[in-house]
Amino acid sequence: MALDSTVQGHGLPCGGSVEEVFASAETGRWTEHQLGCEHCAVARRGVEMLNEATLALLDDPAEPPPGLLDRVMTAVRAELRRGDTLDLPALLGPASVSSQAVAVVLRWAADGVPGVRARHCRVEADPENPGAVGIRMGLSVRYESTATVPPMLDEVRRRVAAAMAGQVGLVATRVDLEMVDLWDAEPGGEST
Amino acid sequence: MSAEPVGQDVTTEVRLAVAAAGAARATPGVVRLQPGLWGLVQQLTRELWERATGQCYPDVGGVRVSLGGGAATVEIALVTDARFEAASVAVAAQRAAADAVGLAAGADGPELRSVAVHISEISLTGLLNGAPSA
Amino acid sequence: MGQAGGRTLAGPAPTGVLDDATLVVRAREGDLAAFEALVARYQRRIYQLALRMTANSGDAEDITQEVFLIAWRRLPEVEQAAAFSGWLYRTATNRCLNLLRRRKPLGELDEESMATSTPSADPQRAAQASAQVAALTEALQRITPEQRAVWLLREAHDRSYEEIARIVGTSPQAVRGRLARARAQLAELMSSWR
Repeated sequence: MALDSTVQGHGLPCGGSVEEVFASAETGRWTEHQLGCEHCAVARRGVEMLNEATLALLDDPAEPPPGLLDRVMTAVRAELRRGDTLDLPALLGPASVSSQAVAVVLRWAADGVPGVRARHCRVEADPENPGAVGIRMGLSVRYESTATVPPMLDEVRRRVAAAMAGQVGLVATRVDLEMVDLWDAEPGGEST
Repeated sequence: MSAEPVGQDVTTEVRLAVAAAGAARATPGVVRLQPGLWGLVQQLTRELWERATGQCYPDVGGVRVSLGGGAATVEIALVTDARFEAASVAVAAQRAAADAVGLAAGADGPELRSVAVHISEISLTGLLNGAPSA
Repeated sequence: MGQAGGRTLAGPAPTGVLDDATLVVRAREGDLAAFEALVARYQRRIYQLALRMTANSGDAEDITQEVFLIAWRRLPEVEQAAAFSGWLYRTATNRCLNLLRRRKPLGELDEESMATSTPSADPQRAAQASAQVAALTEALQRITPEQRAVWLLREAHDRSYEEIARIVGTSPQAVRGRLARARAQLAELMSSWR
Protein backbone atom coordinates (compact mmCIF):
# COMPACT_ATOMS: atom_id res chain seq x y z
CA MET A 1 0.00 0.00 0.00
CA ALA A 2 2.02 2.92 -1.26
CA LEU A 3 0.70 6.21 -0.06
CA ASP A 4 0.72 9.39 -2.04
CA SER A 5 -0.18 12.12 0.39
CA THR A 6 0.38 14.97 -2.04
CA VAL A 7 -3.05 14.47 -3.55
CA GLN A 8 -6.25 15.10 -1.64
CA GLY A 9 -6.13 12.73 1.33
CA HIS A 10 -3.88 9.70 1.08
CA GLY A 11 -4.21 8.48 -2.47
CA LEU A 12 -3.86 4.91 -3.54
CA PRO A 13 -2.35 3.97 -6.91
CA CYS A 14 -5.84 2.98 -8.07
CA GLY A 15 -7.18 6.50 -7.60
CA GLY A 16 -9.05 5.71 -4.39
CA SER A 17 -7.92 6.97 -0.98
CA VAL A 18 -7.28 5.56 2.49
CA GLU A 19 -9.90 7.97 3.83
CA GLU A 20 -12.52 6.36 1.61
CA VAL A 21 -11.49 2.93 2.86
CA PHE A 22 -11.78 4.16 6.47
CA ALA A 23 -15.23 5.55 5.71
CA SER A 24 -16.37 2.28 4.08
CA ALA A 25 -15.02 0.25 7.00
CA GLU A 26 -17.05 2.45 9.34
CA THR A 27 -20.32 2.03 7.47
CA GLY A 28 -19.68 -1.51 6.23
CA ARG A 29 -20.68 -0.43 2.71
CA TRP A 30 -18.06 -1.14 0.07
CA THR A 31 -18.10 0.07 -3.52
CA GLU A 32 -17.84 -2.21 -6.50
CA HIS A 33 -14.33 -0.85 -7.12
CA GLN A 34 -13.15 -1.36 -3.57
CA LEU A 35 -14.28 -4.98 -3.55
CA GLY A 36 -12.37 -5.78 -6.73
CA CYS A 37 -9.27 -3.62 -6.32
CA GLU A 38 -6.08 -5.13 -4.87
CA HIS A 39 -4.80 -1.75 -3.61
CA CYS A 40 -8.05 -1.12 -1.80
CA ALA A 41 -7.93 -4.69 -0.42
CA VAL A 42 -4.51 -4.07 1.13
CA ALA A 43 -5.70 -0.74 2.51
CA ARG A 44 -8.82 -2.42 3.86
CA ARG A 45 -6.75 -5.05 5.62
CA GLY A 46 -4.62 -2.32 7.22
CA VAL A 47 -7.68 -0.36 8.32
CA GLU A 48 -9.30 -3.45 9.83
CA MET A 49 -6.09 -4.45 11.59
CA LEU A 50 -5.76 -0.93 12.97
CA ASN A 51 -9.38 -0.86 14.12
CA GLU A 52 -9.05 -4.20 15.88
CA ALA A 53 -5.77 -3.23 17.51
CA THR A 54 -7.33 0.07 18.60
CA LEU A 55 -10.14 -1.80 20.32
CA ALA A 56 -7.56 -3.99 22.06
CA LEU A 57 -5.69 -0.87 23.13
CA LEU A 58 -8.86 0.60 24.65
CA ASP A 59 -8.72 -2.37 27.01
CA ASP A 60 -5.04 -1.72 27.58
CA PRO A 61 -4.04 -4.20 30.27
CA ALA A 62 -0.83 -2.31 31.05
CA GLU A 63 -1.05 -1.23 34.68
CA PRO A 64 1.07 1.36 36.42
CA PRO A 65 3.53 -0.30 38.82
CA PRO A 66 1.82 -1.04 42.15
CA GLY A 67 4.06 1.25 44.20
CA LEU A 68 3.51 4.33 42.06
CA LEU A 69 0.65 5.84 44.06
CA ASP A 70 2.56 5.45 47.32
CA ARG A 71 5.70 6.95 45.86
CA VAL A 72 3.77 9.98 44.62
CA MET A 73 2.08 10.43 47.99
CA THR A 74 5.35 10.07 49.91
CA ALA A 75 6.92 12.78 47.75
CA VAL A 76 3.86 14.98 48.22
CA ARG A 77 3.88 14.53 52.00
CA ALA A 78 7.53 15.53 52.11
CA GLU A 79 6.56 18.82 50.47
CA LEU A 80 3.58 19.46 52.68
CA ARG A 81 3.72 22.96 53.99
CA ARG A 82 3.15 23.55 57.67
CA GLY A 83 0.35 26.00 56.87
CA ASP A 84 -1.91 27.98 59.17
CA THR A 85 -2.67 26.77 62.65
CA LEU A 86 -5.39 27.34 65.21
CA ASP A 87 -4.58 27.62 68.91
CA LEU A 88 -6.12 25.08 71.24
CA PRO A 89 -6.73 25.74 74.93
CA ALA A 90 -3.88 24.15 76.94
CA LEU A 91 -1.96 24.56 80.19
CA LEU A 92 1.57 23.19 79.99
CA GLY A 93 2.61 24.97 76.83
CA PRO A 94 1.17 26.04 73.50
CA ALA A 95 -1.13 23.62 71.69
CA SER A 96 -2.28 24.03 68.13
CA VAL A 97 -3.97 22.20 65.31
CA SER A 98 -3.40 22.59 61.60
CA SER A 99 -6.22 24.53 59.91
CA GLN A 100 -6.01 22.07 57.02
CA ALA A 101 -6.57 19.18 59.42
CA VAL A 102 -9.63 20.92 60.85
CA ALA A 103 -10.95 21.64 57.35
CA VAL A 104 -10.76 17.93 56.50
CA VAL A 105 -12.94 17.09 59.50
CA LEU A 106 -15.46 19.85 58.73
CA ARG A 107 -15.77 18.78 55.10
CA TRP A 108 -16.37 15.23 56.26
CA ALA A 109 -19.16 16.52 58.50
CA ALA A 110 -20.76 18.50 55.65
CA ASP A 111 -20.42 15.57 53.22
CA GLY A 112 -22.59 13.56 55.61
CA VAL A 113 -25.62 15.55 54.43
CA PRO A 114 -26.97 13.75 51.35
CA GLY A 115 -26.48 15.84 48.23
CA VAL A 116 -23.73 18.00 49.69
CA ARG A 117 -20.08 18.05 48.64
CA ALA A 118 -17.92 20.42 50.60
CA ARG A 119 -15.31 22.38 48.67
CA HIS A 120 -13.25 25.22 50.06
CA CYS A 121 -13.12 25.61 53.79
CA ARG A 122 -11.54 28.43 55.74
CA VAL A 123 -11.34 28.42 59.52
CA GLU A 124 -10.23 31.54 61.35
CA ALA A 125 -9.73 32.23 65.03
CA ASP A 126 -12.06 34.83 66.49
CA PRO A 127 -9.61 37.43 67.81
CA GLU A 128 -11.98 38.63 70.51
CA ASN A 129 -13.02 35.22 71.68
CA PRO A 130 -10.35 32.68 72.66
CA GLY A 131 -11.36 29.12 71.76
CA ALA A 132 -13.88 30.37 69.21
CA VAL A 133 -13.59 30.26 65.44
CA GLY A 134 -15.47 31.40 62.37
CA ILE A 135 -15.94 29.01 59.44
CA ARG A 136 -16.48 29.78 55.77
CA MET A 137 -17.27 26.88 53.51
CA GLY A 138 -18.13 26.48 49.85
CA LEU A 139 -20.57 23.79 48.85
CA SER A 140 -21.52 21.95 45.72
CA VAL A 141 -25.17 21.06 46.23
CA ARG A 142 -27.53 18.70 44.48
CA TYR A 143 -30.47 20.74 43.30
CA GLU A 144 -33.96 19.30 43.45
CA SER A 145 -36.11 22.33 44.08
CA THR A 146 -35.83 25.67 45.84
CA ALA A 147 -37.55 24.10 48.83
CA THR A 148 -34.90 21.44 49.45
CA VAL A 149 -31.91 23.75 49.68
CA PRO A 150 -32.50 25.74 52.90
CA PRO A 151 -33.04 22.67 55.10
CA MET A 152 -29.93 21.14 53.56
CA LEU A 153 -27.89 24.18 54.48
CA ASP A 154 -29.31 24.20 58.02
CA GLU A 155 -28.26 20.60 58.42
CA VAL A 156 -24.76 21.34 57.11
CA ARG A 157 -24.44 24.24 59.55
CA ARG A 158 -25.56 22.05 62.44
CA ARG A 159 -23.22 19.18 61.56
CA VAL A 160 -20.22 21.42 60.93
CA ALA A 161 -20.69 23.17 64.28
CA ALA A 162 -21.14 19.79 66.00
CA ALA A 163 -17.93 18.44 64.45
CA MET A 164 -16.06 21.57 65.48
CA ALA A 165 -17.10 20.95 69.07
CA GLY A 166 -16.97 17.16 69.11
CA GLN A 167 -13.99 16.35 66.94
CA VAL A 168 -11.85 19.43 67.39
CA GLY A 169 -12.86 21.00 70.69
CA LEU A 170 -13.37 24.58 69.54
CA VAL A 171 -16.59 26.59 69.35
CA ALA A 172 -17.85 27.78 65.98
CA THR A 173 -19.43 31.19 66.46
CA ARG A 174 -20.15 31.59 62.75
CA VAL A 175 -20.68 29.10 59.93
CA ASP A 176 -20.95 30.97 56.62
CA LEU A 177 -21.95 28.76 53.73
CA GLU A 178 -21.62 29.62 50.07
CA MET A 179 -23.14 27.57 47.29
CA VAL A 180 -20.48 27.50 44.60
CA ASP A 181 -21.96 24.82 42.38
CA LEU A 182 -25.21 22.96 41.78
CA TRP A 183 -25.55 19.51 40.34
CA ASP A 184 -28.37 17.21 39.31
CA ALA A 185 -28.57 13.65 40.49
CA GLU A 186 -26.15 12.11 38.07
CA PRO A 187 -25.39 8.58 37.02
CA GLY A 188 -22.51 7.24 39.01
CA GLY A 189 -22.98 10.02 41.53
CA GLU A 190 -23.23 9.44 45.21
CA SER A 191 -25.87 7.18 46.64
CA THR A 192 -27.97 8.88 49.23
CA MET B 1 28.99 8.32 80.15
CA SER B 2 32.29 9.96 79.28
CA ALA B 3 31.21 12.26 76.51
CA GLU B 4 32.21 15.88 76.00
CA PRO B 5 29.68 18.56 77.09
CA VAL B 6 28.09 18.82 73.65
CA GLY B 7 27.60 15.08 73.58
CA GLN B 8 26.22 15.25 77.10
CA ASP B 9 23.53 17.73 76.04
CA VAL B 10 22.67 15.69 73.00
CA THR B 11 22.31 12.45 74.93
CA THR B 12 20.09 14.20 77.46
CA GLU B 13 17.96 15.69 74.70
CA VAL B 14 17.56 12.34 73.02
CA ARG B 15 16.80 10.59 76.33
CA LEU B 16 14.07 13.11 77.12
CA ALA B 17 12.74 12.90 73.57
CA VAL B 18 12.44 9.12 73.86
CA ALA B 19 10.44 9.56 77.07
CA ALA B 20 8.18 12.22 75.55
CA ALA B 21 7.62 10.21 72.37
CA GLY B 22 6.68 7.06 74.27
CA ALA B 23 4.24 8.94 76.51
CA ALA B 24 2.64 10.78 73.57
CA ARG B 25 2.25 7.61 71.53
CA ALA B 26 0.55 5.88 74.46
CA THR B 27 -1.99 8.67 74.92
CA PRO B 28 -5.51 7.55 73.92
CA GLY B 29 -6.54 9.29 70.70
CA VAL B 30 -3.00 9.61 69.37
CA VAL B 31 -2.63 7.68 66.11
CA ARG B 32 1.06 8.38 65.57
CA LEU B 33 3.73 11.02 65.83
CA GLN B 34 4.40 13.19 62.80
CA PRO B 35 8.07 13.48 61.83
CA GLY B 36 9.35 16.23 59.60
CA LEU B 37 7.60 19.27 61.02
CA TRP B 38 10.28 20.14 63.54
CA GLY B 39 13.01 19.75 60.98
CA LEU B 40 14.88 16.59 60.18
CA VAL B 41 17.31 15.16 62.68
CA GLN B 42 20.65 16.70 62.02
CA GLN B 43 23.29 14.24 61.01
CA LEU B 44 25.54 15.71 63.70
CA THR B 45 23.06 14.94 66.45
CA ARG B 46 22.75 11.40 65.24
CA GLU B 47 26.51 10.92 65.07
CA LEU B 48 27.10 12.45 68.50
CA TRP B 49 24.46 10.22 69.97
CA GLU B 50 25.74 7.05 68.40
CA ARG B 51 29.34 7.84 69.39
CA ALA B 52 28.40 8.70 72.98
CA THR B 53 26.14 5.71 73.58
CA GLY B 54 27.24 3.11 71.07
CA GLN B 55 23.57 2.52 70.31
CA CYS B 56 21.39 3.08 67.25
CA TYR B 57 19.62 6.41 67.16
CA PRO B 58 16.10 5.86 68.52
CA ASP B 59 12.89 6.73 66.69
CA VAL B 60 11.95 10.13 68.05
CA GLY B 61 10.56 11.55 64.81
CA GLY B 62 7.87 14.10 65.64
CA VAL B 63 9.52 15.13 68.92
CA ARG B 64 12.11 17.80 69.50
CA VAL B 65 13.73 18.58 72.82
CA SER B 66 15.91 21.67 73.17
CA LEU B 67 18.02 22.33 76.24
CA GLY B 68 18.93 25.86 77.13
CA GLY B 69 19.65 27.68 80.38
CA GLY B 70 19.21 24.49 82.40
CA ALA B 71 15.66 23.94 81.17
CA ALA B 72 14.09 21.74 78.51
CA THR B 73 11.55 22.73 75.89
CA VAL B 74 9.63 19.85 74.33
CA GLU B 75 7.74 20.04 71.04
CA ILE B 76 5.56 17.20 69.80
CA ALA B 77 3.79 16.90 66.44
CA LEU B 78 1.14 14.23 66.23
CA VAL B 79 -1.85 12.82 64.41
CA THR B 80 -5.06 12.30 66.36
CA ASP B 81 -8.01 9.99 65.82
CA ALA B 82 -11.20 11.88 64.87
CA ARG B 83 -13.20 9.72 67.27
CA PHE B 84 -11.53 11.72 70.05
CA GLU B 85 -11.78 15.43 70.64
CA ALA B 86 -8.52 16.82 69.34
CA ALA B 87 -8.13 19.53 71.99
CA SER B 88 -8.50 17.00 74.84
CA VAL B 89 -6.01 14.65 73.22
CA ALA B 90 -3.54 17.54 72.95
CA VAL B 91 -3.89 18.34 76.65
CA ALA B 92 -3.61 14.67 77.67
CA ALA B 93 -0.52 14.17 75.49
CA GLN B 94 1.03 17.31 76.98
CA ARG B 95 0.43 16.08 80.52
CA ALA B 96 1.69 12.55 79.79
CA ALA B 97 4.81 13.85 78.06
CA ALA B 98 5.51 16.31 80.88
CA ASP B 99 5.29 13.53 83.48
CA ALA B 100 7.50 11.19 81.47
CA VAL B 101 10.12 13.86 80.76
CA GLY B 102 10.18 14.87 84.43
CA LEU B 103 10.78 11.26 85.42
CA ALA B 104 13.46 10.73 82.78
CA ALA B 105 15.27 13.95 83.73
CA GLY B 106 15.56 12.90 87.37
CA ALA B 107 16.00 15.11 90.40
CA ASP B 108 19.15 16.90 89.22
CA GLY B 109 18.23 16.97 85.54
CA PRO B 110 16.99 19.99 83.61
CA GLU B 111 13.66 21.42 84.61
CA LEU B 112 10.83 21.41 82.12
CA ARG B 113 10.01 24.77 80.58
CA SER B 114 7.07 23.79 78.36
CA VAL B 115 5.57 21.03 76.24
CA ALA B 116 4.16 22.28 72.94
CA VAL B 117 1.80 20.02 71.05
CA HIS B 118 0.88 20.47 67.41
CA ILE B 119 -1.79 18.35 65.73
CA SER B 120 -0.84 18.05 62.07
CA GLU B 121 -3.66 15.77 61.03
CA ILE B 122 -6.94 14.47 62.41
CA SER B 123 -7.35 11.00 60.99
CA LEU B 124 -10.81 10.05 59.78
CA THR B 125 -9.83 6.43 59.21
CA GLY B 126 -11.42 5.22 62.43
CA LEU B 127 -14.66 7.06 61.65
CA LEU B 128 -14.82 5.79 58.09
CA ASN B 129 -13.95 2.17 58.82
CA GLY B 130 -15.22 1.46 62.30
CA ALA B 131 -18.57 2.11 63.91
CA PRO B 132 -18.71 5.66 65.21
CA SER B 133 -18.25 5.86 68.94
CA ALA B 134 -21.45 6.74 70.77
CA MET C 1 -20.04 12.58 69.62
CA GLY C 2 -21.02 15.00 66.87
CA GLN C 3 -24.06 13.34 65.38
CA ALA C 4 -26.84 14.35 67.72
CA GLY C 5 -30.44 13.32 67.13
CA GLY C 6 -29.93 9.56 67.46
CA ARG C 7 -29.78 9.02 63.70
CA THR C 8 -27.35 6.49 62.43
CA LEU C 9 -24.41 8.20 60.92
CA ALA C 10 -24.99 8.47 57.20
CA GLY C 11 -21.43 7.99 56.04
CA PRO C 12 -20.38 10.68 53.62
CA ALA C 13 -19.70 9.57 50.08
CA PRO C 14 -16.21 8.12 49.81
CA THR C 15 -13.77 10.49 48.14
CA GLY C 16 -13.59 8.10 45.19
CA VAL C 17 -17.00 9.21 43.87
CA LEU C 18 -16.47 12.94 44.28
CA ASP C 19 -16.18 15.03 41.12
CA ASP C 20 -12.80 16.38 39.97
CA ALA C 21 -13.67 19.99 40.78
CA THR C 22 -14.45 19.14 44.40
CA LEU C 23 -11.32 17.02 44.80
CA VAL C 24 -9.10 19.68 43.21
CA VAL C 25 -10.38 22.44 45.51
CA ARG C 26 -9.80 20.20 48.51
CA ALA C 27 -6.36 19.11 47.39
CA ARG C 28 -5.42 22.73 46.74
CA GLU C 29 -6.17 23.43 50.40
CA GLY C 30 -3.84 20.64 51.51
CA ASP C 31 -6.30 17.74 51.75
CA LEU C 32 -4.03 14.78 50.98
CA ALA C 33 -6.87 12.24 50.80
CA ALA C 34 -8.45 14.32 48.03
CA PHE C 35 -5.19 14.46 46.11
CA GLU C 36 -4.66 10.74 46.57
CA ALA C 37 -8.13 10.12 45.11
CA LEU C 38 -7.15 12.17 42.05
CA VAL C 39 -3.92 10.23 41.58
CA ALA C 40 -5.79 6.95 41.96
CA ARG C 41 -8.35 8.12 39.39
CA TYR C 42 -5.89 9.18 36.69
CA GLN C 43 -2.63 7.28 37.22
CA ARG C 44 -3.68 4.40 34.96
CA ARG C 45 -4.68 6.65 32.05
CA ILE C 46 -1.61 8.85 32.31
CA TYR C 47 0.69 5.84 32.62
CA GLN C 48 -0.86 4.16 29.59
CA LEU C 49 -0.56 7.33 27.51
CA ALA C 50 3.11 7.66 28.49
CA LEU C 51 3.74 3.96 27.87
CA ARG C 52 2.30 4.05 24.35
CA MET C 53 4.04 7.34 23.65
CA THR C 54 7.50 6.20 24.79
CA ALA C 55 7.21 2.41 24.46
CA ASN C 56 9.32 2.19 27.59
CA SER C 57 7.85 1.27 30.96
CA GLY C 58 10.60 2.95 32.96
CA ASP C 59 10.12 6.23 31.12
CA ALA C 60 6.34 5.91 31.45
CA GLU C 61 6.67 5.41 35.19
CA ASP C 62 9.00 8.39 35.61
CA ILE C 63 6.76 10.63 33.56
CA THR C 64 3.62 9.58 35.43
CA GLN C 65 5.29 10.24 38.76
CA GLU C 66 6.56 13.63 37.63
CA VAL C 67 3.20 14.67 36.20
CA PHE C 68 1.45 14.11 39.53
CA LEU C 69 4.19 15.77 41.53
CA ILE C 70 4.01 18.82 39.25
CA ALA C 71 0.22 18.69 39.59
CA TRP C 72 0.56 18.90 43.35
CA ARG C 73 2.92 21.87 43.14
CA ARG C 74 0.85 23.69 40.53
CA LEU C 75 -2.58 23.03 42.04
CA PRO C 76 -2.93 26.68 43.07
CA GLU C 77 -2.49 27.64 39.41
CA VAL C 78 -5.02 25.19 37.96
CA GLU C 79 -7.68 27.84 37.55
CA GLN C 80 -10.60 25.79 36.35
CA ALA C 81 -10.72 23.01 38.89
CA ALA C 82 -12.91 20.97 36.54
CA ALA C 83 -10.26 21.14 33.81
CA PHE C 84 -7.81 19.11 35.88
CA SER C 85 -7.79 16.07 33.60
CA GLY C 86 -7.01 18.26 30.58
CA TRP C 87 -4.15 19.78 32.52
CA LEU C 88 -2.79 16.30 33.35
CA TYR C 89 -3.00 15.19 29.73
CA ARG C 90 -1.30 18.35 28.53
CA THR C 91 1.54 18.03 31.02
CA ALA C 92 2.00 14.32 30.32
CA THR C 93 1.97 14.82 26.55
CA ASN C 94 4.51 17.62 26.74
CA ARG C 95 6.78 15.58 29.00
CA CYS C 96 6.62 12.68 26.56
CA LEU C 97 7.34 14.89 23.56
CA ASN C 98 10.29 16.52 25.36
CA LEU C 99 11.72 13.13 26.23
CA LEU C 100 11.29 11.84 22.69
CA ARG C 101 13.00 14.90 21.23
CA ARG C 102 16.06 14.09 23.31
CA ARG C 103 15.94 10.46 22.34
CA LYS C 104 17.17 8.99 19.06
CA PRO C 105 14.39 8.05 16.67
CA LEU C 106 13.12 4.53 17.24
CA GLY C 107 14.65 4.38 20.69
CA GLU C 108 14.52 1.57 23.14
CA LEU C 109 11.29 -0.41 22.90
CA ASP C 110 11.29 -2.47 26.03
CA GLU C 111 9.86 -5.89 26.63
CA GLU C 112 7.20 -4.77 29.04
CA SER C 113 5.48 -2.30 26.75
CA MET C 114 5.22 -5.06 24.18
CA ALA C 115 4.26 -7.94 26.43
CA THR C 116 0.86 -6.90 27.66
CA SER C 117 -0.49 -10.30 28.58
CA THR C 118 -3.00 -10.34 31.34
CA PRO C 119 -4.86 -13.15 33.06
CA SER C 120 -8.01 -13.83 31.11
CA ALA C 121 -10.81 -16.34 30.88
CA ASP C 122 -9.96 -16.79 27.23
CA PRO C 123 -6.18 -17.15 26.90
CA GLN C 124 -6.28 -17.38 23.12
CA ARG C 125 -8.32 -14.20 22.81
CA ALA C 126 -6.03 -12.46 25.30
CA ALA C 127 -2.93 -13.54 23.42
CA GLN C 128 -4.44 -12.22 20.21
CA ALA C 129 -5.30 -8.86 21.80
CA SER C 130 -1.88 -8.68 23.37
CA ALA C 131 -0.18 -9.31 20.02
CA GLN C 132 -2.35 -6.63 18.40
CA VAL C 133 -1.44 -4.09 21.06
CA ALA C 134 2.23 -4.97 20.65
CA ALA C 135 2.05 -4.53 16.87
CA LEU C 136 0.22 -1.23 17.26
CA THR C 137 2.73 -0.01 19.82
CA GLU C 138 5.50 -0.79 17.40
CA ALA C 139 3.69 0.90 14.53
CA LEU C 140 3.13 3.97 16.73
CA GLN C 141 6.88 4.29 17.18
CA ARG C 142 7.23 4.68 13.40
CA ILE C 143 5.10 7.80 13.06
CA THR C 144 6.20 11.18 14.39
CA PRO C 145 5.79 11.76 18.14
CA GLU C 146 3.41 14.65 17.40
CA GLN C 147 1.17 12.44 15.25
CA ARG C 148 1.41 9.66 17.83
CA ALA C 149 0.27 12.05 20.57
CA VAL C 150 -2.71 13.24 18.55
CA TRP C 151 -3.69 9.71 17.58
CA LEU C 152 -3.44 8.36 21.15
CA LEU C 153 -5.31 11.28 22.70
CA ARG C 154 -8.14 10.93 20.19
CA GLU C 155 -8.42 7.17 19.63
CA ALA C 156 -7.26 5.72 22.97
CA HIS C 157 -8.23 8.51 25.37
CA ASP C 158 -11.30 9.98 23.69
CA ARG C 159 -10.27 13.61 24.06
CA SER C 160 -12.07 16.16 21.89
CA TYR C 161 -10.40 17.88 18.92
CA GLU C 162 -10.59 21.19 20.77
CA GLU C 163 -8.92 19.75 23.84
CA ILE C 164 -6.21 18.00 21.82
CA ALA C 165 -5.57 21.28 20.03
CA ARG C 166 -5.00 22.97 23.41
CA ILE C 167 -2.84 20.08 24.61
CA VAL C 168 -0.45 20.14 21.65
CA GLY C 169 -0.74 23.87 21.05
CA THR C 170 -2.33 24.01 17.61
CA SER C 171 -5.76 24.46 15.99
CA PRO C 172 -8.55 21.84 15.91
CA GLN C 173 -8.21 21.93 12.12
CA ALA C 174 -4.54 21.02 12.32
CA VAL C 175 -5.41 18.25 14.76
CA ARG C 176 -7.83 16.75 12.25
CA GLY C 177 -5.15 16.82 9.56
CA ARG C 178 -2.52 15.28 11.82
CA LEU C 179 -4.96 12.60 12.93
CA ALA C 180 -5.85 11.68 9.34
CA ARG C 181 -2.17 11.34 8.45
CA ALA C 182 -1.52 9.26 11.56
CA ARG C 183 -4.42 6.93 10.82
CA ALA C 184 -3.40 6.43 7.19
CA GLN C 185 0.19 5.69 8.13
CA LEU C 186 -0.80 3.35 10.94
CA ALA C 187 -3.17 1.52 8.60
CA GLU C 188 -0.32 1.11 6.14
CA LEU C 189 2.02 -0.17 8.85
CA MET C 190 -0.64 -2.54 10.18
CA SER C 191 -1.52 -3.92 6.73
CA SER C 192 1.73 -5.88 6.70
CA TRP C 193 1.19 -7.34 10.16
CA ARG C 194 -0.09 -10.83 10.70
